[in-house]
Amino acid sequence: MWDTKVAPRKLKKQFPNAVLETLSFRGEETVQVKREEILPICQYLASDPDLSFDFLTDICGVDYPDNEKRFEVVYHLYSMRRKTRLRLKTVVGEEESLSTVESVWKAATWFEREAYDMFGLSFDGHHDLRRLLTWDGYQGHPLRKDFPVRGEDFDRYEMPAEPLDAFSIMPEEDADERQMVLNMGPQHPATHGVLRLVLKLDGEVITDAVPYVGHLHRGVEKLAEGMSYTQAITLTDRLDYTAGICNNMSYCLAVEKLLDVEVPKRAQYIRVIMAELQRIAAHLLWLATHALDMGAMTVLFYCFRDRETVIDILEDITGARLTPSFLRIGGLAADLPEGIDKKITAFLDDFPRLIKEYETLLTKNIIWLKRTKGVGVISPQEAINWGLTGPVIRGSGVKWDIRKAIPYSSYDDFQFVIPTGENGDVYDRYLVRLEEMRQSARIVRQALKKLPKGRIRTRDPRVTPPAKADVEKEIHALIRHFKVMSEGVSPPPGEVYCSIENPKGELGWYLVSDGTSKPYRYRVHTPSFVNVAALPEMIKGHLVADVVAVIGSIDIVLGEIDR
Amino acid sequence: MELVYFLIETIVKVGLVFGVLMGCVAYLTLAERKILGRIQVRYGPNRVWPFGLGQPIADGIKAFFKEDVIPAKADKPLFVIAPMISITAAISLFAVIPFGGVIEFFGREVSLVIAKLDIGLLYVFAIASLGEYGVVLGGWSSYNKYGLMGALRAAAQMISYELALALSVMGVLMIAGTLNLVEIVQQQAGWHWNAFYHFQFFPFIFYLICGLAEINRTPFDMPEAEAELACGFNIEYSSMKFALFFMAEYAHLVAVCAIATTLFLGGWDGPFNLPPYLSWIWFVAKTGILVYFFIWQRGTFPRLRYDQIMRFGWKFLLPLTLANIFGTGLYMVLTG
Amino acid sequence: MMLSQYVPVLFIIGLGIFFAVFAVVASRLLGPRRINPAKASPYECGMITLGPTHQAIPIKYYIIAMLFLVFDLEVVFLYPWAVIFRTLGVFGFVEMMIFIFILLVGFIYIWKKGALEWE
Repeated sequence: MWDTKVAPRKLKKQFPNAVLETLSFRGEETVQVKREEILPICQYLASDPDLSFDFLTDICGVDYPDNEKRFEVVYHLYSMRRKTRLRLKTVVGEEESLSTVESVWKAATWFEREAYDMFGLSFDGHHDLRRLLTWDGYQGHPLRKDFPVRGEDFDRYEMPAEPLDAFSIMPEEDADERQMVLNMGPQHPATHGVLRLVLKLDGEVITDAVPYVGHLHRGVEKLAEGMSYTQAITLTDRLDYTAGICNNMSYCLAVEKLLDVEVPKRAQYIRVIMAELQRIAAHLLWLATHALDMGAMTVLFYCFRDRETVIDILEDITGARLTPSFLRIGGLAADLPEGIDKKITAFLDDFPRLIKEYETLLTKNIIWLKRTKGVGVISPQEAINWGLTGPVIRGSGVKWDIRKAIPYSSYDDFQFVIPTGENGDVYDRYLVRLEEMRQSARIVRQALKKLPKGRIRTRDPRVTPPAKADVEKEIHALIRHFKVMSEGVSPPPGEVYCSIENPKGELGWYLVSDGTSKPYRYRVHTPSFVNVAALPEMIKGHLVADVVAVIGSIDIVLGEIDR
Repeated sequence: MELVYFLIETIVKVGLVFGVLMGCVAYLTLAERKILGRIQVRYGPNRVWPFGLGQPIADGIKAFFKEDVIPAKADKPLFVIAPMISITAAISLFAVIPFGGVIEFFGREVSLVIAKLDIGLLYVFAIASLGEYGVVLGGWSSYNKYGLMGALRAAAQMISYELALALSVMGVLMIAGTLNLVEIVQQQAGWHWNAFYHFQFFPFIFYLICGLAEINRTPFDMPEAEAELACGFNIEYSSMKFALFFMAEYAHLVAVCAIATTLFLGGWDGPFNLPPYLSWIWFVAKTGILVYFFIWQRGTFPRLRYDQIMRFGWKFLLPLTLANIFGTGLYMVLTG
Repeated sequence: MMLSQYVPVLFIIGLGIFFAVFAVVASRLLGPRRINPAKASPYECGMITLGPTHQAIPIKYYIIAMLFLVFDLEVVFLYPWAVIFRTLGVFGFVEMMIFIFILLVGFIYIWKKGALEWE
């Protein structure tokens, strides 16, 4: 393992005046830098061959209204080469602005727009600084601490007299009357939810595309600031609603990291089993809808039939099909039910045959090949620069999977391979996901076989209430139980970023704790968000029908884009 | 007196064909949903009467009672006329399709075809081209971008495949030496089916492919392409107008299969001779098999992309159908 | 008597038109009428239409239409030829092949020119 301290050290040597402070917390390195120097520092970090922080994971703001300069902008960087994260922080006053890092990582475009939208942060030199999740003309910045959470704290909302029109947003100068401007979405059968794309068409060929998101914005990050850490688990299910368990897991891991709690081995294994089953279910749903978008109706029904089996298994374990909220900080809500392993094994035995069935309909079907090969191509360098994650970046041939790169929840105990593509087109992403389903099945089988005995929740008294029997007998147990249940967990002040490999890519949480039982900042980094930002890049010059193919292949869920 | 008999005969035949056709169209929708259901591990309609047999009727009644919305910006006359063109053309196609031999009825010879036109096939192509106007005008007059794109696609795709379609039957015409569909069937009597007897098998396949494209069915359903164009040319249509487009599509499906049967599969000629008044059974059976094939492939194939369809039509089917004319000509010149 | 063949054709076309008109009128009479501006606006995925709808149509479609005209004329010539192919014999065959060949040269020309490409 590469020494994580190297980066802060080198940075301090290179920019002695700009680096204000370096911090280390729970194995994560944070460097506080001067606002004016953010661009050269980022350029250096990205281009230095030894560090090569070529991957921008996240940019977000944090609001401290009592500070002299109230905003903190946090950059999470990742080095593909060193498999290490680095956090950069800089403070910005309300009237100040800072330089954009778009030129270093294209992924920054949308993150900076979001920060502008949510905090009113201003980025100099940004080519397209508009609101992202709310709409043009929206008043206020929701994630500022002085923005009200509850509905009754707002004034009455008046609909604008003139309907909001996005036409003005299309670049005026190259307005060509031979080109047609077409709204695709939010009410469209193939945009997988409420994604809205404004397409500029020359006949059938797309000359420009502008995605609009935010139709499903619920303010999850704001809501969580008013909830205890345990309550906030329920918000996670509703992000990527095709993979509730994985979302639970990512969040719980982040809180556990913040608390420095060790989860028992058995709970870790059960988490892996459920997460991988959920991955199979999510990928089946992807295949179903992706195939339907291309007109292969039968595949949809086959996939839904088999997804049903997986969902049934998960229902047996968690009691819910879509939004389980089953994981707890420090473990699980309950152990596996009796006889579930037989059910899982029966499914796994049948699964290769089922995958073969889908493949018979698609993989070598000439029409499928014609529709997917060479469509929506993105090169590995571009993919990294755009910060793409999950099967999309692996389809481009980048062998990057957090389960291997930064193993969590005992993933290093299992054997599996990371499938990658070669051309970075729709077809390769399709093959990658099919192979991932097979690998997931393999992991589940291993985990079931090796499943250790023992507790399913940590003994740590800060997060786990005492057993019922003790509560009835002993007063201190009763007090402890009352405190854990009513107050929830209170992690020490600090901040962590923790991410896992979700079915759709890297899902991570950046949590800031101020020592109370509610998260001070609950930042979600979602895979669909970064992947959909690169959508225009992939579809320009293609035909209308390819839009549908590409959207399907990057597998977006609007619940986690809009949050 | 002859005139009266002629009129009665015509009215009875027209009524019969119309009734049977409408029944076929109605139950074809049910059949398609049932067959696709079978393929796709689900049931299909099964609530209205046993096996969902009342479903088409229920659908029809529902269509009548739905609100008929005409968009404010639509070109109203064209918007209303477009579905009428489609359904009228689809029904009119059946005027020349012979569905059985000649039968004796009260001492009068009645042939089981509405009109024995000498230019039967030309009539078919002329009316089929007219039917395209319905789709194109329907999409264009809606004043909807998806509709317009559907209409443009429909126009370009249909004219492209019309060429290949017209050329693919040329071999049959050369062999038959007539455009009269009744005579073409009579020539194929006794197993001399064009598709197998005169090396017209590949043209038969080309014809089926072009037929799929002409009637906009998967994998060629570009004008509708619900994943991309939401619903394409009929996006703004509701109520009975939508139903008319829908019925026209299925009537066209039957027509394409019936013409394929007539031209390539020997029409009402069968493996063993049935009495003339039952000869239509063979015709119906063959048409039914082709219809089943068309439904079946819908459950199997994904949708092609628009440019691929155009390329396939122009660069693949057109040269091959031309080559078939050459080949058939050579074969006939050589064998006399 | 020649034209009398067409009488049944007129009958079925008439019946088709009658059915179409009947269906549309009946649904007009039977169905409810509750139109409002939102309902009458064109469907564009739930958003307000951006820009004009009927505008210049790309030249691509006109090229296809032109090509269609050329080849459809060829088909028109081919039909009568095909019907009397047997009587024309070898002479007719060779002559038509020359005709098709000339058109084929044009076809190859437009193919190479890229008129059949879409991207």
